[in-house]
Amino acid sequence: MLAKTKQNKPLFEKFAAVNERHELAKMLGQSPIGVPFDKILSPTRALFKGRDIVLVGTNNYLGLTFNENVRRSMIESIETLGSATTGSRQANGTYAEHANLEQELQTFFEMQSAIVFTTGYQTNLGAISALAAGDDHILIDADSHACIYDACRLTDAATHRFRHNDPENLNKRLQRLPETGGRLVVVEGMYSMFGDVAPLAELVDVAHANDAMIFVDEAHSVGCFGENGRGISEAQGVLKDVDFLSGTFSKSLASIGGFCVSKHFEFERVRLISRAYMFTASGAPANISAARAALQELQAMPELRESLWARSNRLHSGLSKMGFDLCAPASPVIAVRRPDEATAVREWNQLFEQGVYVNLAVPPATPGGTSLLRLSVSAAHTEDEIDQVLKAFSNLA
Amino acid sequence: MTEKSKIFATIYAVLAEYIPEGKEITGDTRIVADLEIDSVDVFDLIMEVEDAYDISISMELISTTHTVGELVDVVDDLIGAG
Repeated sequence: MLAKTKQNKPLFEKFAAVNERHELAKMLGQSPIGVPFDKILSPTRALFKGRDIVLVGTNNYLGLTFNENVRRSMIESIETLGSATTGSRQANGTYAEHANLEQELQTFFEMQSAIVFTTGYQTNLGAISALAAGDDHILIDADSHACIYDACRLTDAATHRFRHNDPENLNKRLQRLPETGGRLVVVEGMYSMFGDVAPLAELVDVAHANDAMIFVDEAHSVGCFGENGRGISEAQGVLKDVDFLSGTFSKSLASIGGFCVSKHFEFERVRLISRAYMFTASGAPANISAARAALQELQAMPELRESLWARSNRLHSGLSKMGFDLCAPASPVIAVRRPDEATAVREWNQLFEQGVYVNLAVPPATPGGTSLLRLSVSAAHTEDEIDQVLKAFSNLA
Repeated sequence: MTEKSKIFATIYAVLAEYIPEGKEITGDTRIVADLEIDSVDVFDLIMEVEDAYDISISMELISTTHTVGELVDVVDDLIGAG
């Protein structure tokens, strides 16, 4: 056996900068990364070391994680289908539950095809990288989520960025492209960091005028926007024009997994091309059943959206009146811009000490190098909880 | 002034917005490593260069372009191809 002579760990040297930031954050108090809650009491409250915390950073927009029908569906699913599929969708991992959920999503969005993926991240990764390849061109909004950037890295299609929420800039960039190959424009409905909304109707027009198809990630907007909760596409009257619409089960739909629907039946072939679909185990039956139940609740309970917006407006208005610099008009995501990372970390701790959990968002995860205290509102928040959050913000030193 | 010198001057003007005043820039200057421009800002400055020349530089091309001189060559090639 060779003697161990030296602790040489060059692989870890690249972690130095991250380590430094993490250690600095810990010096300022509780680490904001991966806060280990002891117990989740409800969609809006948790216990941390015996303290009752109001949760305003969960993306649990409709508050369905404790919904009776959602929880019961999961339990029944485990009892009848077991804990896991142990296989991919292409092999043994497609159960009737998966197929039924796909049919229900197809009907809900009035589309020709629906594919369920194991996570939301894998949905964009799998769908986008399968749709565009070779001579094709992908045009992505500059503020796109990491999974969209990662999808582009998985394909050999050329990727181009256009300025955030700028249809004119998209038009200019589309017109610069060569005639060869297909064109896929990728945008989000509501952007997760700032909570700002895409000018989708204009973007759809520009895409189609330049012979491009448009893919809209509605991960944060399904359940929150539109008369029936179908997202920004519905809210802006372009659902029938959108070529591909993706979403996640891990926000409004209170589970884990993701989906992409399309008005083109040819999208079904993605099942045979997408590596993120083929080479991973399918969603656990309980998660799929939960998403089905949550989709039913989303449709049966429009009052959830009313509550979500009432609470969002109350919180946005309160913070605005206090003079906080908010990144976008009222929406279920409210981002408070802070002057620098150290201030954001310190204030995150001050809020946590007062029993309020928000998300800390710092570069490079944020657009424009901004440091944010990011709040996401739930339909399950009470007015008292919103007022508790406002009071904690008013106490920031 | 040659075409490449003109391109260098344009890129120099764009880069100047992202780095401390007076920092020396040559063709061998590495955009990220020497100028300490983060990866997000690199994409933003590339967009400015694209707009200046009405060209499109793909992200894949950006990822293999490390120095200012290489960026000048990329722009020169794309202008020539256009």
